[in-house]
Amino acid sequence: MMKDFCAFLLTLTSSVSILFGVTGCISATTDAEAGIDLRKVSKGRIPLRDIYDKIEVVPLDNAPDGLPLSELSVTADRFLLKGGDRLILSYRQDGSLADSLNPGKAIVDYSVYQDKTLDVLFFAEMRTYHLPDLSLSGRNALDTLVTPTRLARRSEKVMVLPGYKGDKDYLCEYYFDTKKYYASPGKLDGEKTKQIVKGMRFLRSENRLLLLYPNSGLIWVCGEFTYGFLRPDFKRREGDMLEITYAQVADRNVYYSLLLNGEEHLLVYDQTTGKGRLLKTTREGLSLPLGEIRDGINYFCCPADELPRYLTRDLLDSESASAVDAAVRNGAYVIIKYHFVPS
Amino acid sequence: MSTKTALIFFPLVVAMLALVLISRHSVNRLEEALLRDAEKERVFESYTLSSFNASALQDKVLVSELCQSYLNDSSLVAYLPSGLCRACFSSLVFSLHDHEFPEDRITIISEQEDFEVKKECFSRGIHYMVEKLPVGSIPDIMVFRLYRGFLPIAIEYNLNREPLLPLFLSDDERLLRILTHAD
Repeated sequence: MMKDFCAFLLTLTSSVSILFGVTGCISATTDAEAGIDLRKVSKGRIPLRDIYDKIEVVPLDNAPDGLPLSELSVTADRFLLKGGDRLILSYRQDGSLADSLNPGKAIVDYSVYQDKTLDVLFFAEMRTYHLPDLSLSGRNALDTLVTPTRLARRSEKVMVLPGYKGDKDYLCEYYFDTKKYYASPGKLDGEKTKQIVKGMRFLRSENRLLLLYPNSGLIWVCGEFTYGFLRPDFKRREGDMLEITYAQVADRNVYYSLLLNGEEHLLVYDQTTGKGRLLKTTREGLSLPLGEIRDGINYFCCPADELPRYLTRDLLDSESASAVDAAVRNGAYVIIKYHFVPS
Repeated sequence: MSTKTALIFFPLVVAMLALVLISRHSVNRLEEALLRDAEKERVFESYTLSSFNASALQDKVLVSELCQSYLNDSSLVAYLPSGLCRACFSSLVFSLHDHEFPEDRITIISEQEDFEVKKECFSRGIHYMVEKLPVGSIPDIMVFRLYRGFLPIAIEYNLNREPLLPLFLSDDERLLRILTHAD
């Protein structure tokens, strides 16, 4: 009973904090709070070498049956990728296929925790303890069926699972010790909910867990024992359409991959100076993709035939260049390793 | 009430109580059954990454690590509502003591003066304050705030004995308002 109560409390507090984050009721305590004015950020084109001092390309072995690869996760010694919607593929650092996992069900999402645990989400409903409101006196009742859309482990004992039921969003947590799901409803209903809940995603960045809300750019930075928010107030010209598609927090910078009026940009925001730089393409006319950043390297996965968008041959050493040629011929996927210029 | 009336109503009251008990029992059993179903319907599976084998998860006790790593620059504020399970409070104090959390960095706030709590606090060097909270803001749970510099931390502890208590920092404005008294 006490365990239930405690799990309830913990769920409630964390859920409240996240949901308040969504609805903008708490104040962020980061420098990013000062705001990012997209009308004022530096927009000049710069050479790729000003950001990255070394670029490598790792061609990957073809996936079984030529399945498309997506959702890259980088661990200390492996690249993990979703193969179609039923496989998780594990590649070695040299791009050779090491292992594959077929759980036998369609995979909705997967998440890696501390390089040692892989959690795989399936399409199913969770029978949750429902926290009927955000007041502390609200009694929890069993039997709210919630469909989770994402999962990530907050700690060894707690899994976070955003989900929905009908048009209502829920933030759910699973407690390994009590083996129970708890759900806390958000404040949003209808179409707006669908956009926010289904668009929000967990990302890993320098081995930290981030939860990104694409509409607001809010990033929930979740550590093992700590959590906080980066909530930059994006200012833009009236009528400009903005969608944050990916984010990373590394060193002193926050990196946002964003769509501004439908066009891809990379926004580099320096938290210490409060200055941002909005980059559409480099001086060479190359796009700047953002993948998982780990140990000062930005890892990005794409089909080899898309490489000309991101690279020119002269940026590669001869070994990488010939490997790229072979990958293009084989219709393979590649991982681009962008090494940041040391700050 | 006459004896005759009592004789009529007494069996009725007993029968109603029995019904209530039975229905409560049924609800509990239903809940247990639903939980069993929930286990069967588990929506995710966990694997050991190195081998892709399904993994059993360790139930790790975190408090000792936390108390060690957060010992030097942390302070704890706890709001103790009237009538809260005394065992919860004792468990907290003993746990923090066992892990050498500096007791002079703990502040307990109580709505009404509680002699037993006060005595225990004073004997351990824990700060004790009585604070009248705004009407409507009184929580029915124990509220904790643990600081390490400016970093909020959420921890739970389990010394392998009941009760298990979570310590947490809340971003709930209402709780923060309450705890502002201790800032």
